[in-house]
Amino acid sequence: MKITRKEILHTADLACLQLREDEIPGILSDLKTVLAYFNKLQALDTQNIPPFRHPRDDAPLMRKDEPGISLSQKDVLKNAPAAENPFFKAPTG
Amino acid sequence: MNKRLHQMSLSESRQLLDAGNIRCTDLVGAVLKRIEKINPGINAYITVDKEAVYDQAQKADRRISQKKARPLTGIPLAVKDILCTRGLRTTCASRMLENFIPPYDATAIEKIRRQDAVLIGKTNMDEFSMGSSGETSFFGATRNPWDPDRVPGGSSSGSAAAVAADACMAALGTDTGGSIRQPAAFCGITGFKPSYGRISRFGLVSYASSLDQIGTLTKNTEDAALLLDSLCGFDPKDATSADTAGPALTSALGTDISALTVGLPEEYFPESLDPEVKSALVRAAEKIEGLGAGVKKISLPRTGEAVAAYYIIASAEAGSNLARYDGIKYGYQNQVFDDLKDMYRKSRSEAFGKEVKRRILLGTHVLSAGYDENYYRQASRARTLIYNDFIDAFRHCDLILTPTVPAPAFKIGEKVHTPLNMYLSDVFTIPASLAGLPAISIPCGFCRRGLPIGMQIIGRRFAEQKVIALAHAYEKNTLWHLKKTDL
Repeated sequence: MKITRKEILHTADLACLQLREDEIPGILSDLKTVLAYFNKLQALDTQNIPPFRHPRDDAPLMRKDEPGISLSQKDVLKNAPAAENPFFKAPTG
Repeated sequence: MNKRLHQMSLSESRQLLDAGNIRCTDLVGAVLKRIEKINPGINAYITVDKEAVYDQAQKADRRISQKKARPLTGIPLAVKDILCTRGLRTTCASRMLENFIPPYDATAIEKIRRQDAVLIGKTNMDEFSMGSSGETSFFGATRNPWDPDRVPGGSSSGSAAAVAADACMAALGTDTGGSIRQPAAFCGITGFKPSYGRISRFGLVSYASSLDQIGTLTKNTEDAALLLDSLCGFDPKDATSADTAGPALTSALGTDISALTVGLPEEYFPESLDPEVKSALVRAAEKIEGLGAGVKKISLPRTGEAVAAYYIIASAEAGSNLARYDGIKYGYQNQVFDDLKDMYRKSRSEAFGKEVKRRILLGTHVLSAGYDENYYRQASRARTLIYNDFIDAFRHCDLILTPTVPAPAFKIGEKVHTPLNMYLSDVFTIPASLAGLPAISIPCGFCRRGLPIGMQIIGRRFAEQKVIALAHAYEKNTLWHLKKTDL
């Protein structure tokens, strides 16, 4: 399971990241090393072992749906790079 | 008392404040002066809230004079810059959130504010908690107060360095795979990661949600118990927080430890373990035996698989969590773009640092079609096995004693360019994180170079009491935690 240049560009596209040509070889080599290390898990016998779900598996998943006070529109928009009250402003396309 | 004001522990400050021997404004003045002195060299703080702290201190002084003080009233606390503080910049040490001012407080922050603790500032960290050395911060590396050429550990690098340098009474940090315990060990202080669920994560900026946990960095175990008692409890805003309200952790201080059995897992004492770390741990185990507890060898056979399992799971969760940074609702936005997708790509690529991008790519890759079975699902099964190892081990002992890190603090620049070597420095802290268990790191010696050595005590889930009892008993009979840097 060796990662290729083509795959890394595809993964970057999925993750909405743009890699500069000069950083690709370094990233590729780092990921190859780390993924090769990850492969040690393949030797682990996990037959009939269920995946770990969550450390709070016992926690109740549902709560009552009770309306409460939320943040004001003004506060929510305060950190937006662009806003036109009462909306976030995003580029088209 | 020969100690200067800024050198006080939380509990010592509490006593002096309540007795009327000092005022909170004096304490805050002493801490601010200390920060001014050490921060240019150590870079522990990203933001110091100079304007607001004296108002907070005066308010605390009034409350203390009315005899209405709570455990944290008037105590100058530092907070890792990943916990949202209303009106106070919260950066996660990233260019992405360089100017982000949260409109709300994290639940943990709300709790300390309600007691009128003084929130002195926000501490430096690895960007979005991704790092084990403090070097990935957009605001520059934090340095180790014991030796500025060495790392303080990470990712709660600034919180650990600030406590070790007496630039706050205590600090909050977060721990995903060791981010409280490892820097605590490198800086010679006490770092406690409670069980997953003990403290609400609401307002903690997410990295890996099934692992992230808030905890404390303090000058001793008593302070850890005091601070944790103020933070624990169920929060309706975090469905994974626990309502297992047990007795206060402070009630475990000074309790008898002779009925406890402590396990030493053979996998944590490999050939490659630094000899000075090994002998410090052997002496610590002897000390604990001398205090009346039982000590026996145990095994955690799947320890060797933990680092791989952790970095797959944590990266997968990170890839998903960090998808929220789109440059629209908050955070950095590139201003020269062709269309929406181009803006997303450019904003994220320009504002995330190298390690963050590396983990997003790793996480996206291990979850992508064709790879998820071999990586993510296999790692989740390995996590089950690692969890089961602990369940089995706790049939034979009450607590587990290990080194916190395989060696003392490494040099700045030593591992930052070889990610796998950096990841492997978390080898002893990761297993308890994967299993959601409480674990503390306390000082247990110094190497010949004068760098601190830490030991880790791991407990059963929600058995914080026993962890505190043993750590406190050890500390009461040793002097390691009292050593100060020359800074």
